[in-house]
Amino acid sequence: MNCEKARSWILLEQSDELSAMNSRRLARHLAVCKDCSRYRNDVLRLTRLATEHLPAEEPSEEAIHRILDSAEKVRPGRLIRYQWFAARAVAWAALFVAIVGGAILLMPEQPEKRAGPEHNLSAIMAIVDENPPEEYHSRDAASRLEIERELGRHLLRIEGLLDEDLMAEVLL
Amino acid sequence: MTEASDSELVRRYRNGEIGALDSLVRRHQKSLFGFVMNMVRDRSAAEDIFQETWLRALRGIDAYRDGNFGGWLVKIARNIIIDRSRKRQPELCLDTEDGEGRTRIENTPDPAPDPATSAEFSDVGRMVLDAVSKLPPDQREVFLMRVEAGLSFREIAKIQRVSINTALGRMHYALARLRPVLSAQASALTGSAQRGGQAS
Repeated sequence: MNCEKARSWILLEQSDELSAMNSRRLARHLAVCKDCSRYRNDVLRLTRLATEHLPAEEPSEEAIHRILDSAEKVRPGRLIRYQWFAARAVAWAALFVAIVGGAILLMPEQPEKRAGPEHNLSAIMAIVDENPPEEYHSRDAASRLEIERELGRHLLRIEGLLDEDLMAEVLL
Repeated sequence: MTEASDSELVRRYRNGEIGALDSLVRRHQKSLFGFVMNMVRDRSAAEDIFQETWLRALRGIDAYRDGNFGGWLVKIARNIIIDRSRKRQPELCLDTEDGEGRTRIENTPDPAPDPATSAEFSDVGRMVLDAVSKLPPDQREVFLMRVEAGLSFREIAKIQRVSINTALGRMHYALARLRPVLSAQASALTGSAQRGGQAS
């Protein structure tokens, strides 16, 4: 290794930019080269002197406060956007609650429960009474079909088959 | 509890937490201000540049990617110092060289030490300050980026847009110019010891 390279490596070693392998190579060179060894000591001393003696001044508190104050103005977009989104989310939530609450309050009362089996049975009996066999057979086909459907509907309700679609399917 | 990294603080600031910015400013105030102060040697100008650096950094915070945040700040500060130098000499631009082949940064004025500041320092301190202020700007910049801001040579080379060998070369030259300070320091120490010996 030549001295020029060694001196660059001395600087790189100080800034932790020298690999472990090259550090070992540099150490071997320094062990035999007094000039480079002296150079390394001078570099360390100068760096230490500069660190100790260059004015270690800090900015005034006012300067820092001005930066922090300005930060609010520099990036208002993000903060305002954030607040705007938050306000919008709250507004949407309030609107949702109002709509749901209003719908519940204004919802019409539930229709009365469908007639129970007893009621259906009496309805069937009424249909049968109104249509004794002799009259039933004298009716035209359309009337007969209507009576059958009405009877079938009541019978299905007695069995608990309240699903209108299913009922229609059964009847058809 | 471990301290939050710069990247973490930047992320928190981006999310609107101003307190994270306070931590960032205080963490980097000494190295950044030290670099600026030793480049311009004028407290008022240094404070202006320090503030402007942070304002530019905040405006461009979305451009910051994970990396050395301190190095990023120093790069911004350096650009501001060059911009100010350009305003003083509007006929020149950053990349042009003057008749003697000196670039913009090399045309920044040598910062003469503030007499009031110098008076507060010991002989050795004054010698260091004088020697650093008399370095050519590109060498002074490398020296201060390394010693004050603690940047690596790779980062310094990137900021100065030169090869790492050029950055190392500038540091070698700077150190060579500062070496007489060591001799002077040794003499001062010897004289002090002798005076001490005679007094006793």
